[in-house]
Amino acid sequence: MRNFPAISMIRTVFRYLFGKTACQMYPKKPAVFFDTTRGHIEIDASRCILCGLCAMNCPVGAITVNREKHYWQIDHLGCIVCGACVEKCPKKCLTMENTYTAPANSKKVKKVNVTPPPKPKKPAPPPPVSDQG
Amino acid sequence: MGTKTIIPFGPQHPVLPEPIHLDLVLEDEKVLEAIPSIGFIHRGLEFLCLKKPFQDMVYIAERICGICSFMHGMSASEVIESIMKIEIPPRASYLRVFWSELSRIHSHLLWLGLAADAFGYEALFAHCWRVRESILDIIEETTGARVIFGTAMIGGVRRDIDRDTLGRIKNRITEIEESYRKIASVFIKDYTTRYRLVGVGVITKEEAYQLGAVGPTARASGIGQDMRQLGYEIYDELDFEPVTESDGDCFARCMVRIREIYGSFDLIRQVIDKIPPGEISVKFKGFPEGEHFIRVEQPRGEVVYYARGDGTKFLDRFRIRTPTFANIPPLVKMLAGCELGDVPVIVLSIDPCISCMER
Repeated sequence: MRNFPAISMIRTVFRYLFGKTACQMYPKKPAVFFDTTRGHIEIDASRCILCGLCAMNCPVGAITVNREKHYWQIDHLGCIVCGACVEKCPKKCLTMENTYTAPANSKKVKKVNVTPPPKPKKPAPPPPVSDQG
Repeated sequence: MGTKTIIPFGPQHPVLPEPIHLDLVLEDEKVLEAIPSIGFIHRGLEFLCLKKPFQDMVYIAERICGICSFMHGMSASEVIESIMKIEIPPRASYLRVFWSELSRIHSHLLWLGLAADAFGYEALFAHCWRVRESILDIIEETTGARVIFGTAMIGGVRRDIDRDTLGRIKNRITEIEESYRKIASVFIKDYTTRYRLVGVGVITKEEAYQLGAVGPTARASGIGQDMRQLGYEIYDELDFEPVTESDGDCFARCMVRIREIYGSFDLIRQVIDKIPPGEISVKFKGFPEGEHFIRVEQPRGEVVYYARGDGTKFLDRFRIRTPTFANIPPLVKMLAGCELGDVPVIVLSIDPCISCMER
């Protein structure tokens, strides 16, 4: 075949004419993400205990946790989607979704109100030990 | 003797993805001298690393370059591990090599595409990037992101890859290598490619050595210097030979990169075969105290990382010498005496990464 480059060329032309296309028609056929793709951070507010470990470990300071006003807040445009908060969350209420956030024309933060967990009751003091016996 | 003319080349030029400025002193169409000037994209990342806790330094280091991001993150982790004497698990080392070699393949394929585009071969550019897309898919599947991997951390790696995925990747690597082989044969045999690259921008072995060329630029001139031979991570347990060419022209630099991709495919297969089970990271305590510097082979050449800690959570000094910075003096030497029409191809032949260089 090396001695007949024309035949090799015709084969290549036919392969690209009738073969599968490398591109996909994007908006019509949506992009496929893997399960492992780091897209954006979501929170399950019912399990959050407002411990603040996610905000402490965020390298860019995109997460704010306010214990007084009971909210959890993320700046999706500032977030670098490293996943450090998801790894550190003790209650596993933060999850990494595999889709990207929608484009935005203004800087908005996502604020989630969190019901704080009831404070644990103080254990009753132990009964005084009588030393009469 | 004709009149001398100075033509500014860059910082905005169709062939340059990133800004560098060259003053070309011409006599007719011949370049007599090239005077580079840099400093258009300095971001102060080394200084920013000193202002963040040393654990967060890896995130910044990864953002120095979009192409060899994992290697920058890995080097930053390695230099801190060396200071703090942290032994990382063998599986983490293997995974680091796995992602490093994937980075090398995707960087070289990107360069091959850009080079094809620079000498006016746009169809070849599209084919190179089609193959590169398959590599990016593997990277996204294993790390979660296409460009900024985010898997390097001090003490190991963040993510593990299970056995089934590794087996699947091994099969896919073979398929990708087959489709890559067809593209590589175009670079090697095609008349257009040879016409634009052979004998252009020649630099001899002695000149390359004296001017401090690194990476594929040095290896294309016959200097068999590859930092992977130092055996960092687990490169000492893997079989590979540094790729060298002797001509020292643009075609030789192209050939070095083409052949290195085959070497990287082979290294990935070796890693998948040899990877041991076990932990992927170790916990550590304390702060870095002392200094260390390491040398790592990036797709563009040797990078030097230096860090000095004073026992606090902020580093005292952090310094990076990137391969493009070392390759600028050889580039100036190559440009002297070439034709004006060959300047874009020669500038691209050292694979310049200006964002790396200026940080």
